[in-house]
Amino acid sequence: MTATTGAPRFGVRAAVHDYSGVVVLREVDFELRGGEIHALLGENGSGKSTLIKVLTGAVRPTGGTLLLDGEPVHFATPQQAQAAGVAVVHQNYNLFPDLSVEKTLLASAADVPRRASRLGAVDHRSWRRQVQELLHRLGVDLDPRALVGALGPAERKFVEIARAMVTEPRFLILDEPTASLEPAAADRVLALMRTLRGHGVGLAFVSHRLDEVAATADRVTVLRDGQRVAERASAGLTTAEMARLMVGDRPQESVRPDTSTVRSEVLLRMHDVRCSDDGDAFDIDVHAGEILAVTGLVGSGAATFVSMVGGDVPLRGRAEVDGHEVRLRTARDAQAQGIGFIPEDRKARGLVLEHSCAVNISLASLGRVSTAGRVSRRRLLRRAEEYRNRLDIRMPSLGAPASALSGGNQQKVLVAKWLASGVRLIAVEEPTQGVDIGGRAQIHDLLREFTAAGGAVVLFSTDVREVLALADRVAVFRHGCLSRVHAFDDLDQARLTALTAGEDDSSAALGLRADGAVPSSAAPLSTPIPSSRPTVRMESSR
Amino acid sequence: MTAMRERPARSDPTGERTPRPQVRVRGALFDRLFVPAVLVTLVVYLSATNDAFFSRINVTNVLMQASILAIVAFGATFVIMAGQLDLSMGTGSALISVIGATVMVDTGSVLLGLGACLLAGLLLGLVNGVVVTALHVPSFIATLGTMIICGGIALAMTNGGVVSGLPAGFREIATLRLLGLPVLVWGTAAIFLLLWWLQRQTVFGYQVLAVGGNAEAARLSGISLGRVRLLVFVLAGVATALAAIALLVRVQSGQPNANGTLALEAIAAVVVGGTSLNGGRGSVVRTLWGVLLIAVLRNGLDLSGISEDYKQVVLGTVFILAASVDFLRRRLVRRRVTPSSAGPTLSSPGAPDTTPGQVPAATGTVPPSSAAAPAR
Repeated sequence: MTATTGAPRFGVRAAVHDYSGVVVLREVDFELRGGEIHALLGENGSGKSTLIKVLTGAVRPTGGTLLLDGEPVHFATPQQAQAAGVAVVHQNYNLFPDLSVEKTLLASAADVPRRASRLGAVDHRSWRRQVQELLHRLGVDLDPRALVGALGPAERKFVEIARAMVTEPRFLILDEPTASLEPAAADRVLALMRTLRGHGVGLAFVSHRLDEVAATADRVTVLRDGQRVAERASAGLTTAEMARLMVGDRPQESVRPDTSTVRSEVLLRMHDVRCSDDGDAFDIDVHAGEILAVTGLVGSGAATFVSMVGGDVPLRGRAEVDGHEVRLRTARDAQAQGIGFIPEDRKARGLVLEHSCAVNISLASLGRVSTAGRVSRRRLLRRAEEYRNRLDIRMPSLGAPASALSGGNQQKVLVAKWLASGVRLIAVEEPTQGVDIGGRAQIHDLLREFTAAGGAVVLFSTDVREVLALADRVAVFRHGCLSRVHAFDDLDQARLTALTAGEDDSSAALGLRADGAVPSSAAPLSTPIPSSRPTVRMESSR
Repeated sequence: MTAMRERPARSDPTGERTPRPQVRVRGALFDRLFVPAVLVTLVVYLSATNDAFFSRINVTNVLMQASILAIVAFGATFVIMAGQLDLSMGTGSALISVIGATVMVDTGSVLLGLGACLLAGLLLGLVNGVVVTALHVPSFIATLGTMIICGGIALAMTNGGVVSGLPAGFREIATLRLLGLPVLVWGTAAIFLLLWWLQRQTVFGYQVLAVGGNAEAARLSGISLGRVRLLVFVLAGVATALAAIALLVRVQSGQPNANGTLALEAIAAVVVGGTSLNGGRGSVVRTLWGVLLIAVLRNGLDLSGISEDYKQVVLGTVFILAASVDFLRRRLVRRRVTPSSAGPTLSSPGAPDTTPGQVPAATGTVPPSSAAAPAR
């Protein structure tokens, strides 16, 4: 048992895995060293998730050898991996909102009895001290008694990481640690990862945000179609090169067409809209053929606004469709006005996961495939087939449950659902979150096609590049209300990031209005909607 | 939603890529045929070991006994598919039988009596539905409440005695036979066909499954959760009334003490059939198999001369086993259809044989080899 000396190493050699005959890993080598940050890149379906499962004991590979410091190891369960010093932070919050931070950490500490117990009962004082030490070591400023449910998204991710670090692993594997975080919060999580690297921990992480990979990772492993296509130092590797390695020769970002499809006709006119109790009211129009991007930080009101357009939450304000005042309180109301809504969490709120893709596609328009209340299964399937071809939805079969599809294809099913119901406006939240690059371009193209045909899209996205790639106009929200509407060509990545982050934009300070007074006419296209409140007052009101 | 309908699509231009819309996933067939296979095996076993089993009298008897449970279970299937529960169907049917019998005895009119039954069932369903949808009381609690209330009213109306002396016309209906089978069995079959059609063919049926499968997704697709849930309870109320009528037909009197555990047995039958208690997945066809399985099993135990007490122990055990088998069965199917990649799904050899093998071994009634056969 003479292990080679040097830095600790953990990885897998020639990992092969298949799910019921479908090969998802083909002889993949992966090695993680102590004190490095190693990014794992690949599109959805490239085998990343499976590789992570193999490394952390959640899945036993069909073939290949796990190597820990050069010695073969076997993990039958995640617990065994943990005991060997390999911990994992899963993508989604697996936290108990009603527990405090310290209790959450306690719940996952396998060796509590040894470390914080007295006669078999938990010694809370000693445990709190240990938690404080741990948080201090991680450089995280958190009250151990705070309830997890009351924490912000970045803090919750800290708790998850701290939870994994309770067992003091030498290797930490993070699945998309920044996926649902806004940029500032993501930066804090990445900073924590660097701290851990400083402690000698080997970190592997998955991310779709290539710029953060370039900024954070020491090495990069790229998977494509279950094979490792590259493993190299990230220094000198541009995000464009990474993207090319991930997708191969396929087209990447979709290209904005030269001609605008925006029409003068106003589809939806909204007056006196309020996105929060203390935010000011504002007016905004949505034109046919337009993609109106709505963006802002968490709590800025941007997401609330899009939910109101889609009927997810009752509209506070008035809405006009085709010049007629309409009710917009429920999703049914919205649908009656030709508005469809695609929520951010497509699994929990968009799809009926257990049901077939065909049924999901027709869910919002069952009346259209039925006669006098009787559904024609033939028509249902034919139309699902039609959208499957038109939108290039990859599914095992029309009858396969929606849960069997990748994220990008699930999103296409949701787009198909609204196309099939014949809506004229789609309100969509984070359409490409967790979607790989190829799927992302396809979804962008779909939204553009929809507007080219006269539809309108109200898009909520915190992805600056997505906003700039798609939007005809960008509505920036701050502090619970609309701050300003920009034409897309006024913006670049840096400026938009600064605007959403709340940087004072002096050129935006126009059209202040007295309290209660509403700008009478809707602002013409590409002219900014007056900002409702001086920035200075907004800051002070917080 | 516009009333516009899609015109039939033009001849499929991309037919060569996907020759035929394929509806079923592999594994689903196994999932669907599992309970029927166990049932068939049980029937074969019983008819081989007991001459009395396939006699006409016994078969009629099994179907008669199954019919009340079946009617209630069919109604309960919709409630459960929508992600709700209705516990009031048992005592509800007892109360409605009392109401129907009282009206018939007092007025001498069969039609009025049947009308009163249906009206009472409708009302019960409406109360359940409104309490659940408007007051947002969890259906378990809401229908537990109405269950107790119904039982109380039934006893108060009769002082605990039965209401007998139904009109002669009603007795004649009850003894009617068509093609050798009692009218009750035909009625149950008709209810089954109607509900099967409702579930499989109508927009309502799809909406019920969608609401049970993912209420949020259904709501955001413009489906009214309140309306679907209310209708489901109304449907269950009507099924309760029909079960009450079936009870009247069978025993020719209003029975305030009858059917105390019927609602729970119906839920058990639904689950044994393979409808998910979580909602969103199921079918009245599955429930039919579940009901028949329970009826045949019960009959088999009767024929074997086992005492009533032990019969209950066996039935309870079977319910638990069936539910655990359902879990294993679903895990098996899920593993086959949802690998993380969306590639074509192939069945994994070896795995399915373990599940069917377990049931017969546990119930001790079915030889394992015969149960495993229909799985593939």
